[in-house]
Amino acid sequence: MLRRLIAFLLGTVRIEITRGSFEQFLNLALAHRLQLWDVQRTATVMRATLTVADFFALRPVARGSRCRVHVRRRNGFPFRAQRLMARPALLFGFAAALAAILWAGSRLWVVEVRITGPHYLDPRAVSAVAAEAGLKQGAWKSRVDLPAVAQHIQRRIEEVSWAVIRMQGTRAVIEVVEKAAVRPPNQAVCVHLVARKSGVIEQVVPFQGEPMVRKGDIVSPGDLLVECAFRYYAGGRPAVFPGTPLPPRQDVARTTVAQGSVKARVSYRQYVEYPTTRELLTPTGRTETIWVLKWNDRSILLRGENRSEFARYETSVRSYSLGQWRSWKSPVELVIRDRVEVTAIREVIPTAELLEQARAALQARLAWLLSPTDRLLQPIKTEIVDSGKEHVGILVTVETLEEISSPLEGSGPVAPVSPDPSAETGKP
Amino acid sequence: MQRRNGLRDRLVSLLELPGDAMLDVARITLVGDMEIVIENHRGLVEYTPNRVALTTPDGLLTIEGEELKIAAISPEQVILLGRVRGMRYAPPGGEAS
Repeated sequence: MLRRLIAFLLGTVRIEITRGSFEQFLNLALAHRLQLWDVQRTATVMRATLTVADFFALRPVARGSRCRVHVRRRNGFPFRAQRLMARPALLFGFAAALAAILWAGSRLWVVEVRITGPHYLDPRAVSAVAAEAGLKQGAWKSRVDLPAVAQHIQRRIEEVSWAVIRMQGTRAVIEVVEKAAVRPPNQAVCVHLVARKSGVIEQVVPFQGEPMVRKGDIVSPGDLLVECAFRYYAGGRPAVFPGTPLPPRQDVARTTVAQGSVKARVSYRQYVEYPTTRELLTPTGRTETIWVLKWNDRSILLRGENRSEFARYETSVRSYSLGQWRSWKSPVELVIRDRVEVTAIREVIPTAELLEQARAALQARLAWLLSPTDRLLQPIKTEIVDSGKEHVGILVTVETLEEISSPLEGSGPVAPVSPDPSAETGKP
Repeated sequence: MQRRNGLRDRLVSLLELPGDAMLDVARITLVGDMEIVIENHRGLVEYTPNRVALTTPDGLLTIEGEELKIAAISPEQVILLGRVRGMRYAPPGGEAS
């Protein structure tokens, strides 16, 4: 069989030998290490088969035995390929069909889950976990590490005591055995995650519970983000697998404490007003001094007058006493008050300074509002929206990416929140 | 030469070694009357549909039959197909017997 196959691949030639000595022809062929088969002889003709390579070495054999060699039939892959090359469409179709068969046969088309046990486990959850490890519809069979997938299922799903995966052609059968002693969770405990700020959802990573929002949804404070009820597991630790279709609502049977991370884009707007001018006090150079002697509760004016003749002034006070010793304090004290006359000049505050002041005000507020994991998505923007003669109104805006989920104790599953596209952001 | 062959024969017999492997002789396998395989031949002397004569280390081997066909021929062996009627050996230098 193997010899025939090799001969077919190399290509064979059926030759007819006439004239000369046939025995000498055969002996010379043997001397040249040529292989012949199907040698048949009649009175005048001998026929034999040999490979194409041997045929080209036949010339000295024919010459030495004075035989004439004619080719009667060609067979094998080289000759068929030559014929096929003349029909490129057929060749292409054959190659395409072969490629399609190879492609389709090397992929996984069906993933089946068989569960043995009390049937708390949902087969879709097992499929989703297997998909995490690469075993999913359309995956390359050669790239799926079956023992690793089985280990991943056992590690990820606590309820599974044993798992094995069998590959049957393009079908993968996941066989899992549920643990017999499954503890249902405490139904009295049900804590949802709700939004504490308005924002546009950017990322939802549920650790426990069922996510009720998706990326791009707009939420307001109090909206449900992760529901404590879970639908895939009837017992044990719950898990939620994004992308897996949800079963009907009535299937909700167990509850848990929702845990997860929900990040959203939150926009902050702050309007502030500042005066456009400020008052600057400049000393005129005129001063007056008052000396007052204090004796216990009495005050004796030694120099100057209590009433100042200046319209506006700034006062600095100096006092002199004999000091104190232990609990004794000198009852006499000399107080000197220096008054410096000042005049007020109004100065226009630069716009850049006002904008910076507004920006700093919002930044200080954000320092209180944001947690270390939250971050600004863009620099703080300032815009003058009201430009009056005495006051200027500045609008300060910024967008942040922050964690907006907050636990809210509830009492069982609630209706899902449908995000309202008309809702506005900017109400932190 | 004769003495050395005799010595080798005795050694093969003494040690119970397979003769076809140790001695320079032809090995002939007959499958019913339809196939005959001759290994360790030395060339073809005659080939007709009724008779095939081969040189072997032991002498001339003549196979007679009907519709004899060489299924394969190589320096190591010859496979003959057909209806084998008889087989004769002629020692080197002598006639077939």
